[in-house]
Amino acid sequence: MEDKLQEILFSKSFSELTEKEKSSFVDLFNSEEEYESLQSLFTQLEEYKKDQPVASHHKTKVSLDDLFVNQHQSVGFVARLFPPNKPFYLSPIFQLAALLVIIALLYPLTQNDIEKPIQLAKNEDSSTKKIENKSREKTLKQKIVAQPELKQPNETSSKSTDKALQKSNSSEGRAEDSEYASFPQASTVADGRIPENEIKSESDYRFSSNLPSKDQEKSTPNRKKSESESLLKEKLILSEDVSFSTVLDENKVFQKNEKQKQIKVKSLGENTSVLAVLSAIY
Amino acid sequence: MQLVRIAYKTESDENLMRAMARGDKRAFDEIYTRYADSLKRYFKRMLWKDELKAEDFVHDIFAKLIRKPDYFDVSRSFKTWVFSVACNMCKNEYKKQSIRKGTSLDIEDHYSLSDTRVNVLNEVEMNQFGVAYEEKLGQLKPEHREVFTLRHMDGLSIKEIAEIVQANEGTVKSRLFYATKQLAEKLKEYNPVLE
Repeated sequence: MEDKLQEILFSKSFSELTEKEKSSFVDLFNSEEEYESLQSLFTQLEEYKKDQPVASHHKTKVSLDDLFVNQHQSVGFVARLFPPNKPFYLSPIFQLAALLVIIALLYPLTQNDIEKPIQLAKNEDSSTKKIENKSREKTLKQKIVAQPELKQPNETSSKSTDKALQKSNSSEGRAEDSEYASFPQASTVADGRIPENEIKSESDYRFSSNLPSKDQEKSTPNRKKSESESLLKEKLILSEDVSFSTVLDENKVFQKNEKQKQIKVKSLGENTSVLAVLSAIY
Repeated sequence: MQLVRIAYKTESDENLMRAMARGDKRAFDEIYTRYADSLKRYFKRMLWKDELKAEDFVHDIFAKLIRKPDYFDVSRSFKTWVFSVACNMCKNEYKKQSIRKGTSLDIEDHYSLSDTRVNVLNEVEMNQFGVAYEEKLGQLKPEHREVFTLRHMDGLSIKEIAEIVQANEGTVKSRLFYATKQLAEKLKEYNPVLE
């Protein structure tokens, strides 16, 4: 409506106005005089706008330019890392460096934690070794049990010599008998052997595997003695092997633990040294 | 990232403001050339023809734009936003002046100050339309004066003025009608046709 009024005022005189136009602006003008006063106001206002000498000072622009440059000077990457108005410990570069140092110090600790599952896997291996050794032991026992039966012909050939020896050492033989009497009679098997799970000593083993007693061995020929000795040694070595392997495993674990402790101590030492340096800087 | 070079002369005010916020100096220069004079005219009219004060206010408003470009709401028109900021600055100045002089908060008292200045001027100047126009404009109520100058001196639309003065369009139209009628009546003696 305002634009339409200005258009009419600049283009038409009061006499040229239609009734519709007059009725639409009846509030603004009712007479020709009022219309002309409005006309003069807007025409002179247009000229006044053109002639109005308003120009902002050069000084204002210069000071605003300086302000703009100062405001946006610190937007650069390097300026952000080293802000001039902040103390050095609040600068992003210092904070970033501190963060990197902390990460570098914590890294070895996290690495040790990762190694633990590998250690567990090794323990599992040792247990399987134990099982394997046990099975080997069983098979050897079975072999040992089976061996005297194969050696029976040798025993028959040397029966006469054995009898002579038994007679000479009759007092010692009784003592052996008394030793045998100490074994539980109920657990003995019909063929005179002791079950494997009840074997506790060497004499038990000798008894169960139909081997001659220690005294009897003294009287037997050297060959037979050496055979039984070698069997016994093998048995003992096996039992020792089992225990020795477990000891080895334990030693390995202990050594690893020691190493970890040493690393932790080292890293702690480094931490403390860094902290000391930082405190000195502060 | 700006891939296309900005055509500063034809770019919209809002895009120039975005570029200015990123630190584009040429965008700031363009904004300044577009609005510095019209803002100075506005401040001069609103602040009792005090040119130095108007210059200071122009500096302040652009300094605000430089320091806090985020204050500008990109969804709004820059022209209406900058004039509404200018309007609020003037209102604050009226309050300051009223406190300083121990008068009431009625803004009309401040406009009467301009009348005394006009009386000092010699008769030759009084005959000039511009002086008479400024005088009669100063006699109007501030809300009427503000609306009239924004419409006819700064060339803003009714909608934009409504946004700046935070009133509905009907109110703006009625204020404009009243101001136009008053000025036409008071300035009819300067009608060259009638002379």
